[in-house]
Amino acid sequence: MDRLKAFLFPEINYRFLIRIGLVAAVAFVCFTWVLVPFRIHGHSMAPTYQDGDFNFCNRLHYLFSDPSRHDVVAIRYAGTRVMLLKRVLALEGETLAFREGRLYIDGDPVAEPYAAANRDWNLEARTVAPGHVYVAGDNRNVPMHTHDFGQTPVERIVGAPLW
Amino acid sequence: MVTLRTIVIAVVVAAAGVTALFWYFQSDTAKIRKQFKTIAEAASKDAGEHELTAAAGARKIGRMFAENGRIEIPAYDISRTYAREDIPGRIMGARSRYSEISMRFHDLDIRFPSEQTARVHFTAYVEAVRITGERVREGHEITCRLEQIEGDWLIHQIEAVTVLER
Repeated sequence: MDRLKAFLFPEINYRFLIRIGLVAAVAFVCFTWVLVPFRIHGHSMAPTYQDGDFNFCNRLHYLFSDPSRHDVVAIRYAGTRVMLLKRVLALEGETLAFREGRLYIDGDPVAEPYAAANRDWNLEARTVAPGHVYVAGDNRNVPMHTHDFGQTPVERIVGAPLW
Repeated sequence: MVTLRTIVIAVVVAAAGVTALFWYFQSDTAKIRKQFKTIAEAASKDAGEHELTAAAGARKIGRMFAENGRIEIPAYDISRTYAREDIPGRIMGARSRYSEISMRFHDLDIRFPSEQTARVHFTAYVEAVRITGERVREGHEITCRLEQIEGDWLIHQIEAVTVLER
C-alpha cells in the first residue's frame, strides 16, 4: 500500500525533478524529430488510410535506404506541420503512364492491389527526373484532375507512416 | 504611507510602460508573423458571415499589400501583376464561392535578404466548404517577398512552390 501511495504521490525531491525532466526531454526529441504524430485529412489515400486516421511519421525510415516503388511516404511542404501522404509509383529515370486506369512503368503494366482501377485515368508517358520519385494517392475513384499527384524531389520525403 | 490607490496606479503605469516598450521594440520578425496571422484570420470565414464583416476583412488584407505586386501560382496557371486596389474585390469574389473557410499558415520561415526586404516561406493550409456543400482541403507551399515602406512590411510578390509536378 505504501509503495502504491509512493508511486501515485511521489515525494517531490531533486531526483524526482531530474527524472521528470529526462522523460520530458526524451518525449520531446522522440515526438518532434523521430516519430512525428499526424492525423490524416482527406480521402487521397483511401482505402489504405481513411480520413481521420491517426499515425506517426517515422523519420528514420529512409535514413539508410531510398524509397522503393509501392512505399507510402510522407512529403513535406515548407515544414512538417502539413505533409502529403502518397504512394511511390515510379523512381528516377523510369517512364510512367496511366492507360484506362492501369499503371504502366517503362511500358509494362504494374499491378496495384491497393488501388481500384478507374478507367477514366489516362496520362501520357512521362519520365521521372533525376533525384525525383513519382507519387500518387491510392484513391483513384475520383476524377484524375482533382487528385494531387506527380513527381517530387526525394529530399522532400521526410519519412514513412509507422503502420 | 503606501495606499492601495498608489499601488494600483503604479501597476497600471508599469503595465502601460511595458506594453509601450514591447510595441516600440517589436522585432520585424514578430511584426511579419503577426501580419500573416491577421491575414489568415481575415481570410477565414464563418457560416453566415455578414457582408460588412467580409468587406472589412478584405480591406484589411488589401492594406497589407504593396501598391503593385506580382503573383505566381503555376498549379492554377496564374502569373500576373496586381494593383493594391484590386485586391479587396478579388478576395471578396473568391470568398463568396465558399460558405466556410479556415485558413492557417504553418512553418513560417522569415529571412531578411536586405534591410528593406523580407522573404517569408510557409505552408498555407485551407479547409473550406463550397456553396454547393463540397468540402475542400488544400495545402500550398508559398514564398512571399515583402518590402518595408514607411515602416510597414507590405507584400510585394507571392509565389506558390510546385511540390508535385505532373
